[in-house]
Amino acid sequence: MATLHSESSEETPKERMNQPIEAEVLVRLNGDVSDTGIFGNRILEVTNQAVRVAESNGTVSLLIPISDIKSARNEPLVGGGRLEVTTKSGEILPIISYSLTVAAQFSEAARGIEQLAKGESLLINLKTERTRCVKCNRLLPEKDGICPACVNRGKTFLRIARFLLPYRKQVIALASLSLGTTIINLLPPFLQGAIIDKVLTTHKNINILAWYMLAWLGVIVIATFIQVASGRLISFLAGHVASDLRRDIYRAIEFLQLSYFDKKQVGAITSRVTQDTDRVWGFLVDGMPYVVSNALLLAGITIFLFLTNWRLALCVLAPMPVVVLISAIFWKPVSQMFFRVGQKWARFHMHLNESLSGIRVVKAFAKEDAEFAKFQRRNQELRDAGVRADTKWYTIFGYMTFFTAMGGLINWTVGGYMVYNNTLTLGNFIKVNSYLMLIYGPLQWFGQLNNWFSRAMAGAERIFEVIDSESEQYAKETAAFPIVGEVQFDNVRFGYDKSNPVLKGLSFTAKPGDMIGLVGKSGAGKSTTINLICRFYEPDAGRILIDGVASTQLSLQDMRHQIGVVLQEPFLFNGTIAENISYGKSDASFEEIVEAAKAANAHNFVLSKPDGYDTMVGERGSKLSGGERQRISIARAILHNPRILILDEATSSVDVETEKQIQEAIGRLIQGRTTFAIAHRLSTLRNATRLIVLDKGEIVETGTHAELMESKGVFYHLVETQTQANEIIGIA
Amino acid sequence: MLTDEDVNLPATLSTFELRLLEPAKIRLFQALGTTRMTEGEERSWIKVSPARAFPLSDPDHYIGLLDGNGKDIGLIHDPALLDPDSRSLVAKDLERRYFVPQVDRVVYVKEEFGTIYWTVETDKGESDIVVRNLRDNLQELSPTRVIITDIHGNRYEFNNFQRFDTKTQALILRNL
Repeated sequence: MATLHSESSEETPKERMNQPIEAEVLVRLNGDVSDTGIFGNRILEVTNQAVRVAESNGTVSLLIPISDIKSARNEPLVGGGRLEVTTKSGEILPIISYSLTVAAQFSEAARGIEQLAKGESLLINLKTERTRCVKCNRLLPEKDGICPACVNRGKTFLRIARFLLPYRKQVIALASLSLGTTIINLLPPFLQGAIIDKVLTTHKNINILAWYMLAWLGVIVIATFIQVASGRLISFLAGHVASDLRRDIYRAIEFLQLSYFDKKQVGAITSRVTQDTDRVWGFLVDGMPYVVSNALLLAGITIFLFLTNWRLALCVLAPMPVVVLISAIFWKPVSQMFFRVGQKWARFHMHLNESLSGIRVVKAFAKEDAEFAKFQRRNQELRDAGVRADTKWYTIFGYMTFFTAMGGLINWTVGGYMVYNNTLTLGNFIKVNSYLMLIYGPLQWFGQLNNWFSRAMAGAERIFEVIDSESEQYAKETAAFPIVGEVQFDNVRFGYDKSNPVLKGLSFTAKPGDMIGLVGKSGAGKSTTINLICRFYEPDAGRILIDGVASTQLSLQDMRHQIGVVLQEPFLFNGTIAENISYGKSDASFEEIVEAAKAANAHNFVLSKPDGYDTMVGERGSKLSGGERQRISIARAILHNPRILILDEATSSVDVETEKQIQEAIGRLIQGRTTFAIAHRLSTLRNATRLIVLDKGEIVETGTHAELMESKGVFYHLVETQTQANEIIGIA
Repeated sequence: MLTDEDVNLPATLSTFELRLLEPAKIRLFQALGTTRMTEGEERSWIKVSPARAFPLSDPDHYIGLLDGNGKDIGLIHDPALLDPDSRSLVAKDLERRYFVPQVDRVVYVKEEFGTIYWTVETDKGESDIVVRNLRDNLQELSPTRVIITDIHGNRYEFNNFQRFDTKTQALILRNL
């Protein structure tokens, strides 16, 4: 329903002058383009009496009485649209222009105006999509999507951390091992210092040396043990956490409403399963321990340095902030450059792939030289991007090495002076030197920490967005409902895009065992009707009754168990023929499978294959011919034994003999089942109990084939046109 | 007055052959809210919509004219040769059909989690642009000229983008 406004009191006196009859404003929309064609604000208001446009200053610049209007529509333009009405005198009046941001709403308003003009009641859906975040008012990256700025990153982090919960023993072990690594890393320099001071410089205590060496050996042994153990733990955790993440997101995707798949490309969805999960587990399992142990190491070393000699510590650590700074400043541009190299690679690959797969066309047009020129362009782009990135990287790396080396230089200068003056023992000097070596490694990578974290969190958000999306109502735990087969549509309205209804109030009843043929031009709503019977979508208004029970009362899975589908392009899964036939009934015996195949006229061709029913059909069934795929899918439907059967154009693109076989198989399949069939070749619907002729989402005719041919209505004309078209094709 | 179902020419001719319209012969005018056209003395159309054949590579030439049923009437090679009234009407219709703001200045730009937020000044006024996945929404017209499509499908032209702030440049270059 339209949003109702009753704010007529806000109108200015001037408006009132233009609008003598005070009527309730039924629709009020903000247009974002002014009458001069630039961004601006104008308001469209629709009342029972008139359509009017108000400028941002409140003056009404246009007013058309509803009684003058014949029709209204959204004229789609480039980058925007324009609401136009056709008056009863045939004049086309542009009402208001808008950008694509709000075009969907105006197209809905156009429908509303038309309803009012026809004297119907206003029935439109002006659901405004949120384009801004309710909390911070920032523009959203997706309509009705999540605001990335307002997602509490701490919360998201806690949520992904929950994936570690089942493995908390391993996590605790890994944490303790990280701590162990830190301590063990700190020991060797300590031992070196002690050996130098107690043994080497004094030239005494040679047996202490042995003890120290023994201790050092112990350290090495423990360090090795820890390294192996934490490596094993990490691979265990990585594997398990990654697979858990993928499991959860896949399961969530499976149960998403089909409308989600309409909006997103399969590639975008699969990338959430692969790339985004990778980022998240990578951070959890690889990143976090690395960060924790290096942070601990850094802290430990700093403390040790200051304990050893705080003056020297201050001096040698002086270049440290510079290294961190360089890493922080230059990380982003350099990583972008490398990213760019990756993109150039992708482009290069794409071109190479394209030109080689199209090599026949290239040769046929003698375009080898032009293709080579294009190739060279990509090749050189790739070369230049690579050279630029590497050059920059080595330059920055040089700076960092310089400042890292400065630490050593300072140590030798200041420390050397201290040793010379006997204010520092040689052992401590060496100790400091060894610690320095340890410290700069992790330091260089700290600049990218935030980046790393952000990417992981963004990935996590995308994952949770899917997991949190509204799923189909599978959960309804109602008792199994054995369907007899009556299907009734009760004033069903539906549109994929809510503003553009495909079905406009469909009502019909199919009795058990009926075969209903759905006929109409493409876009008339045939496939949509079938999608609704399968409950791939729910009606926007009206009801679908199965045996007199509203379909929403039935368990979705139970209901679909009793619906069978044979599609125009049958989708087979990679597996054997037998597996595909028994897809709907996985415990089917070999007898049942062969029985179904025989009924589908598939048995003969299956047996003639070397591997019989064990023949692999290939990805999407690509190793079978179109007719074979169709018959396998019919066998699949027969074995599934549904009460309600959907046939979508089951006999297109096959030769006459195959078609005959398929028709026969279908004849057997539909026995005793309520069947809905779509066929472009109208003659194939001759046996239907009843035909329903659809046009623009409405039923225009119903009756048997013979009745409709006799009444010479829409169906008759469709058949005529088809016959003529066939003749033309025949002549050509 | 003749209508869209004008049948002076054989159907094959108007369907298969390119018709370059003689600017001197045609006249466009507005009546009852629509743009109408007459060609010489013989033919006229009650609704004509101009559309650019090459909106990106040559927006000022090759203006195609479609009749009320969306069928091709012919091409005007150079609309500048039309009489002044017709010319301005074509210009106005084209201006209305193509709502593609030209970005003059970038006021603000921020990238966060793969989404880019721009506030720009354009020849059509100030606007906020939100672009997700810039790489898929960036069309390279020349090394210096790009069209960016925002989440709603609105298009913005960044002509000569090297003159904009470094961040915008970096964003565009990175995603080309």
